[in-house]
Amino acid sequence: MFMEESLLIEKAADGDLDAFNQLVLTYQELAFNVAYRIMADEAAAADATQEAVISMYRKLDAYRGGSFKAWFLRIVTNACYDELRRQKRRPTIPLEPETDEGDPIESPIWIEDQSPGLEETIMNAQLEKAIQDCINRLNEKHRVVMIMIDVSGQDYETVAEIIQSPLGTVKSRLSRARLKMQECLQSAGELLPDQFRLNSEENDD
Amino acid sequence: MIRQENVTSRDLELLNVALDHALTPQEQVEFDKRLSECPYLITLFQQQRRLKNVMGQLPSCKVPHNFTLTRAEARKAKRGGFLQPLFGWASAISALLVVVIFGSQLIFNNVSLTAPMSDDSTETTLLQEDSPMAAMTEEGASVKIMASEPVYLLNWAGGYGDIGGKGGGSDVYDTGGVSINIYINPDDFYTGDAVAMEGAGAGEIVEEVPLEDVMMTAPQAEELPEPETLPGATQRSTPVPQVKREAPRIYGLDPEKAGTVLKMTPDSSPAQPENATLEQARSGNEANSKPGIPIQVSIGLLAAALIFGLIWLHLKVKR
Repeated sequence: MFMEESLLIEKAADGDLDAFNQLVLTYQELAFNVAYRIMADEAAAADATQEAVISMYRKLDAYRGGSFKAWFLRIVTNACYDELRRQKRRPTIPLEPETDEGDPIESPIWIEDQSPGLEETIMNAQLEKAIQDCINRLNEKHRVVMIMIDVSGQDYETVAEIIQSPLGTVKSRLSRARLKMQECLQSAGELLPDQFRLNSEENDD
Repeated sequence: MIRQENVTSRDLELLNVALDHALTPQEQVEFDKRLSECPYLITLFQQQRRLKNVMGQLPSCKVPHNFTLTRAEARKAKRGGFLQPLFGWASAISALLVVVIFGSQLIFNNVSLTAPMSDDSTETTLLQEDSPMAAMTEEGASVKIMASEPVYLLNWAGGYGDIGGKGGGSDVYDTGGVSINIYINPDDFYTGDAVAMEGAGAGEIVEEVPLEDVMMTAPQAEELPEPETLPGATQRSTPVPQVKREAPRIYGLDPEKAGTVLKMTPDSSPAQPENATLEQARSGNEANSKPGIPIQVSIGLLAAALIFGLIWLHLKVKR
């Protein structure tokens, strides 16, 4: 049964847990993916998303209209910031699987994947890893703007609402983030397949 | 690298908007013109467009589980959300109160040690100066000095056995309840002990001095001329042998007049029963001996601040 978003929000604010969960189901995938790109870790992203959902439930009374998606994503990004700070205070060692020689297996997923498109999977995994590494090198403000716009496909106005900054700030941060990403990926270009190299045309010159 | 290629910030701004297909027609014209002028900008634009495409093609992750809340989680979320700020505020307020209490006590203690006399004591001084004591001679000057300070010679709570002098000090300022000040009337001075009075400092307690010693050190007391400025004093003066076995006395004070209340602050009704007066004086003394806020309260507040703070921290970490 389709219920209008504003009606769901109103009911959830009145304590209707089903209506609240309906809202969560609508936005949880977007929220989790944003968190995943910011955190670069699935477990941490899940924690941050769950924390954001709980926080949203507590603060639903404080919602004063506007874009609900932007409001929720703002809570998600704040939860990610908190989680990142927590990780900085208490750094953890990832439990990566190791080979018999003790070398860490960086991409255990592709080893498990025995499908015919193995090479393509490897390339995609390498590309994704390179991109994620470059995203991680961005500072938090640039990272959030870039993920929201280029990965999640949000528009400038929504992102401005999420980060609570003027539109010009969004544009300038995005511009800097893209340039840094480009430089970072160019430096890692030798590891990428040719079709994914940003400066492949330049190299031809 | 980009600056070397003469790419301006305006170019980058237009480039980004162009990547998102959000250029206005006017901006589109401007951007096209810049592209034709700067070949490097074309390369940059192509690279950025490729980057945007790659970023957009990143696979989206499936959620590991639904993030919906159960009834129990919802209840817990509401409860936790209420408790944490509650303990946070409680801790902050307790800590603030502790700071205020300790700070105020520190400040007031310092002020009371260094400040001039209070209004009451000033009034006392004026009253004393108006009295005939102000005209006393050099011998009486010491008494004047003594009287210019807030001196009480009799503590009702201690009865007559507590007769003694006490120099002015901070205790006098903090009289909270009933304070009885007994002032020396010059008519009551036992001028026959003038020599002994010289030896006695202002407010000095002389109870420990044996009377025999006093008599031995003041043999010429009887030879001293009768002070004419204090008529009547000699009439009431008691010969030394008569007071030989009496309770400790204060030099300069006629023993027969000891304990006579000349003035009480605050002025109380003379019809007040003696027991009630004693009780008031006793309670006043007890009040004087205690600070404004008991130390136990401050320690309790400090402990509360610490406990509330720890609970708040625990809730925050647990969250």
